[in-house]
Amino acid sequence: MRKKILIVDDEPDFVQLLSIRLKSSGYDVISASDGENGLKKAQEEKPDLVILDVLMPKINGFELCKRFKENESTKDVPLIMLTALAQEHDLSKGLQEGVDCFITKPFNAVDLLQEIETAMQDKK
Amino acid sequence: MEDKAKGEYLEQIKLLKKRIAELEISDSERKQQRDIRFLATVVRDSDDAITIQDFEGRITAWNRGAGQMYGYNEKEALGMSIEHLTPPGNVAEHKELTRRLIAGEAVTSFETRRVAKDGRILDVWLTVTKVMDDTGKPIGIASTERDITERKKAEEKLSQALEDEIRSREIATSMLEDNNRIREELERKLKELKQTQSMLVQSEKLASLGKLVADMAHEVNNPLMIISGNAQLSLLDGSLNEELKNNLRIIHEECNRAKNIIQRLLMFSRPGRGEQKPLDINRSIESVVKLLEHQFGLSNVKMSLQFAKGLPRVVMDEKQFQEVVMNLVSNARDAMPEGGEIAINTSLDGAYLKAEIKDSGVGMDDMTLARIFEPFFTTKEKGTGLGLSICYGIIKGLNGKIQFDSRPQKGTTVRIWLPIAGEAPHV
Repeated sequence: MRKKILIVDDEPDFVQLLSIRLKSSGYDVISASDGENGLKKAQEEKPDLVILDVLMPKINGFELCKRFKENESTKDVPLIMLTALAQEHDLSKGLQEGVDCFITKPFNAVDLLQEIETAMQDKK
Repeated sequence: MEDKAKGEYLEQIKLLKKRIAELEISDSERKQQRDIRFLATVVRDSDDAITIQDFEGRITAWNRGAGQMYGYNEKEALGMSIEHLTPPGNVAEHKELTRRLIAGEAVTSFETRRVAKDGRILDVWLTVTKVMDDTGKPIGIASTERDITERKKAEEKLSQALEDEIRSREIATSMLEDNNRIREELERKLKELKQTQSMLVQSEKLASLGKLVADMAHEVNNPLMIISGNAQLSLLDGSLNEELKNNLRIIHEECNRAKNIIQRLLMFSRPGRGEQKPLDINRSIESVVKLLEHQFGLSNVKMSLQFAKGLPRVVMDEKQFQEVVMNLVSNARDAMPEGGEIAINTSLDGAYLKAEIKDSGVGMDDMTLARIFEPFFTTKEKGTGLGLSICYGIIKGLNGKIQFDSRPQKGTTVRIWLPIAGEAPHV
């Protein structure tokens, strides 16, 4: 059974790019362009993993992580945070909110795929 | 008979000689009397007051000059006590003078004061002498008194004028000294203010640049991701020829290079704290020096170390500290294209550890100094302009301080202060 990944990012070009790459690697992909929708889709679609950005409208990535962890139906979903912020304090804040992995844009797709695999394995 | 005649003759001669002697005495007396008359005229007509008093202090002689000077006529003065002419403050002095003259002591001229009939106090120059009778017995005191009141006043005025002049000059000199001191103090304060202002402007400028860099990192990393991601995605297409694949790889690598530049820029704006642990800065500098020693030697650059012993540890990330040292010594090397020496020393400066890196290179002018921490500002042909920005970011992130002293052709000294207790140094 194909694993389902939810991408939450407000950059449509990036979402499209990442979707193609993930689909070509055998994943089903759904997406949301802001945190509110992301939370809603996560509750409805029950993804196996969520990839999310930090800076987004309505609810930012850190707040979204917190809400995922507070919600019974989403608290165990692995979270990978992708950001252009690339600073140490962002990393620690993300880890504090329960992010499983933190990757800085631009990244190598192979590295991301590796991290997705690892995160899903750990949650089994 | 002959004897009788001879006797008479001798008697005659004797009488003649006696007569001649009498005539000579008479002549001498006349001459003496004439001299006395002359002297009496001089005494009478003198403008100086010439008086005689007995030892009881009664005036027995009074000339015209005395009358003019003191306002008493001869009739009033004769028999009058000399104390009428003596101000109360000088009575004791007069008594002492009389005592000394009676005792036969020599008394020279001196300055004293007299009082006139109308109460005016006069300054006089007094010359006294003892008067004796025909038997040589002292009978009184003759005195000559010259009125020097006006001269004294003139002298006092002159003296006062001189004192005023001296005081004025002293005041002027003192004011000049004060002015010089105040000017020097003001110049020093002004210089300090300018330096502080310059540092503040630089600090504010760098702070806004830091924010700009952080914003830019976000804005640039996103499109870089799209470019890089698309290049990576395209590389998965097996139908592409090698040339195209190579071009895509170049795009991907350049995106990574751009990402690294941004990472280094972020080290300037908000460096992370890295792996915080107690650091022996002497040992850490030494390991950087060992690493660079051979390479620097090829450029005729020697490094000398002078470390203070027993320095306390600084809690910071060693890699960051070594990056700072590496950047600073590399700049020092680049400033000495003909070779030279880099002197590195460490010391304890209050609550801070101080490291100083000094070169004898080309130095910098004020315009360059004002911009050295700006990202991408460089004077080197192949420099990135990020080295000192990163040093600044790291030191600032530790609440430390970095300061450059430099003049064209006079070399450069860089000082860094690392707080032991986490406070910024007051320098």
